[in-house]
Amino acid sequence: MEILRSIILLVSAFFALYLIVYATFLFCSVIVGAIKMSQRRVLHTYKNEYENKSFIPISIIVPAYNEEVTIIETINSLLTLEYNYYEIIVVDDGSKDETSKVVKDYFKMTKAARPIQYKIDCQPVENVYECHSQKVPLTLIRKKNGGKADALNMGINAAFYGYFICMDADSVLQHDALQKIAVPFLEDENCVASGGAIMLCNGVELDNGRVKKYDLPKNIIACMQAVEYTRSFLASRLLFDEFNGNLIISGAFGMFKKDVVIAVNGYDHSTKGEDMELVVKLHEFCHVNNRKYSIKYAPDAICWTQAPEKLRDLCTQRRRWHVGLFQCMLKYRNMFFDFNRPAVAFSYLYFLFYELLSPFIEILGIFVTIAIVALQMLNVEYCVAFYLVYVIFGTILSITSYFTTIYMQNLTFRFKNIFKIILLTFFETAALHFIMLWTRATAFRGYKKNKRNWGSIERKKINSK
Amino acid sequence: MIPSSMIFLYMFICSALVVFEIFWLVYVAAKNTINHRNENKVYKIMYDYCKAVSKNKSMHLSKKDKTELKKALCSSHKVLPFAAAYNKMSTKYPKSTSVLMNELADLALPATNKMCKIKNSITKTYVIKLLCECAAIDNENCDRQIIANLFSMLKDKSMFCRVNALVAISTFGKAEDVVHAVGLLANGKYYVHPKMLTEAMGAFRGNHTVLSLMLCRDFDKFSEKYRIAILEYFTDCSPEIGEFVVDYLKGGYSIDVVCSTLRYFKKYPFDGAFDLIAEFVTNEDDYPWEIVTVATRALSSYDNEKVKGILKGALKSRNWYTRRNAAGGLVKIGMNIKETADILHGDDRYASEILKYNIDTANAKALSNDNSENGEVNAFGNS
Repeated sequence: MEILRSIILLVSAFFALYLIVYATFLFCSVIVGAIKMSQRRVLHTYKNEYENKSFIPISIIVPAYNEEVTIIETINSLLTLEYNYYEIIVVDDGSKDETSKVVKDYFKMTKAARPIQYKIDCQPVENVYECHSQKVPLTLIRKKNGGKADALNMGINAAFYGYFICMDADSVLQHDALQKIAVPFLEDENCVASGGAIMLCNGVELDNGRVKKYDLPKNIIACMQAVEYTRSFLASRLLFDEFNGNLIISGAFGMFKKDVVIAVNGYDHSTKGEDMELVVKLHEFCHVNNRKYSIKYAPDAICWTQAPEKLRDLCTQRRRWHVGLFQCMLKYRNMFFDFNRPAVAFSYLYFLFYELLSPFIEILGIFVTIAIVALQMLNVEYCVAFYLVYVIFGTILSITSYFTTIYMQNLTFRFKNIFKIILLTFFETAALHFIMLWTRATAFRGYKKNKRNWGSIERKKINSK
Repeated sequence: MIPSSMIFLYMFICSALVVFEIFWLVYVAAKNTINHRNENKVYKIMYDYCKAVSKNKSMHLSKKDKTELKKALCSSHKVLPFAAAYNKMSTKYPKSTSVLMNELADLALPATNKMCKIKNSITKTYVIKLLCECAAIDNENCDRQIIANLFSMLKDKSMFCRVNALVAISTFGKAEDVVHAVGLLANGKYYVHPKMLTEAMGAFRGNHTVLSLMLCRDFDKFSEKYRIAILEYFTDCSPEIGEFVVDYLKGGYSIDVVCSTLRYFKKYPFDGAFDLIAEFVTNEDDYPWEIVTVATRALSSYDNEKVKGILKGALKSRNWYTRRNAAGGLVKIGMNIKETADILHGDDRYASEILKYNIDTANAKALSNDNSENGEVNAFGNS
């Protein structure tokens, strides 16, 4: 019995250490985030920050698969961006619906015999359509199905300019998003990639890429994600950004230097997390080749995207992300404890322990708690106090992230949203968190290696004019 | 014992974070309220003035209003609300706002001098650049002390400050100051993107040819990135210095410098450069492909009988980009279908494809122009 007690004490010590490291990390991250966001706000008000609407020509690549519902809106929003020098390339990855036809007809595109140099391997092109009557060149490429990574690679092959942006076909970029995401490239000559902030458009009214009305979504699943997105950006990315340790640029909105991406052979077809894989690959490539580089995060470059509103869709999405994370961590396991590059090694450890292994560690924690109860070692008062601190901590963090969004975006503050967030945090900690835990822990059930597919959620029209 | 003390430590960190966040939220909210109040004050003054000016009423700021604006411009914590009000106003009444700024000319010197003394370099350069751009301070009433301060700001860590300081120096219109400033930046340890340098030099209010010649004189003193920025500036603002720039094609310079020079000669064709450019394209094996590709594009700007032949030859280049530019060039100079029939129906499939694509694209563009402007002849004379 004594041995069992000792083991449980040891395991408890591990959990306590696990929590202390996380809380310390969060503490640093929130302080850095708060200061950084405040500085950004000042620069944003001093509007003459950089009038960089044409400094860097950009190709926007929009991979699409069965996106007939949202694609026109997405392209229309891209055509209203406040930037002078860009092109739009829509890559239809062999959609089964009318995606290509809808785009072709709406923009009156004509077929073009455009030769494309295949610098990165991808499925062959079927047809190319172009439109020259819009503000910027618009190209539609219809190709054989090969997955999102393959579609992005085709877009890179067809891109004219030296920098490209990848984004989702169900997303809308904020009116000044291109100017903002290009800033890291202007500030640092060694910058190879920069990621924008992803915010959820469920419940938001957009007008030409400008927020007309901001509210938390009515749907509880979407609402939870809206808070979670802002929280995660505030809680980790800004800190990682400080020491060039960002391992993720969301596939929904990121900008890359084309020649470096071609040098690493573009997006990997065989992974489910092609966005993270590319960023980690860029870290690896630049390190191996002894090349000075930085991968930055632009928190004021905003992309509005749709969140799944059904629990089933959310679980599918999270399962895919978790498998993608696992594949990436496994592929680049040489980064583990590689203190020749401490920043990346630190980020790797964070992702390993607090993202990839966290569901397993938490499930283990539940079993240990049950064992503690069985052994009558549980101090109930202490346990309740601990739980309360956890909930209050989560609530305050969520409220801070909500305020940060309001503050950065100059949006209207609504009191009811504060109550919503408080209720939501209780709901999240009591129920949803455990569902997500289980989803992530069992993500590998039915997982097929090398299966090329698109993560599909039910699409709705974005509330945008 | 160990886990419980660790748990207490965890709870302590969490509580500290909660306290910090509450403190932060209160601080931000209070700061926002004060800024809003100040912004509204400034906005009201600006609005009354601009509205009257936009209705062509003659208007002068009262002494009280002027004092209020002076306070806003001269105090570091009030500049932010001033900037917010100014942004709103300049979007609503752009012309009237610039009239208002001219009205503030006599505040410019005291404000600039005051700003030069504050620590916050971002606020400092914002005010100075704003006043310079609005022509509130110019060459005549410019104090050398301000210029000296601006020179020191060129060494600031923030790129926002460095670029704004250079723009401010450019607006004074003294060529030697700009050359000195560019030199300081070039010798500094911080990076400035070439396009931003070009843009900042473009804000020069003096004679661009004079500035360009001074930059040519010191050209070899600058690092490569600065040379490129300077050449881009020439391409934007100095059409008359071809005879000086042509030297940069002759050797001893990097690929990027030669390419930037070729872009200059694409925009401002100079007969003295034609043979050199043609040499790059005709003897492509002797030169890096980047130079050959850009030279191919530059050639299409020259009205010379040799151009057609050279571009047709370049269409068979081994390099993908050279062929693309050659095809684009042939379409640009308006070769007719008869003249290109041998390529369109020839054995070189790629040459034929890229040419056909360029013809189609040019026609599509012309057609869309036709639709909007009703009646222009498109590429290759087709309708």
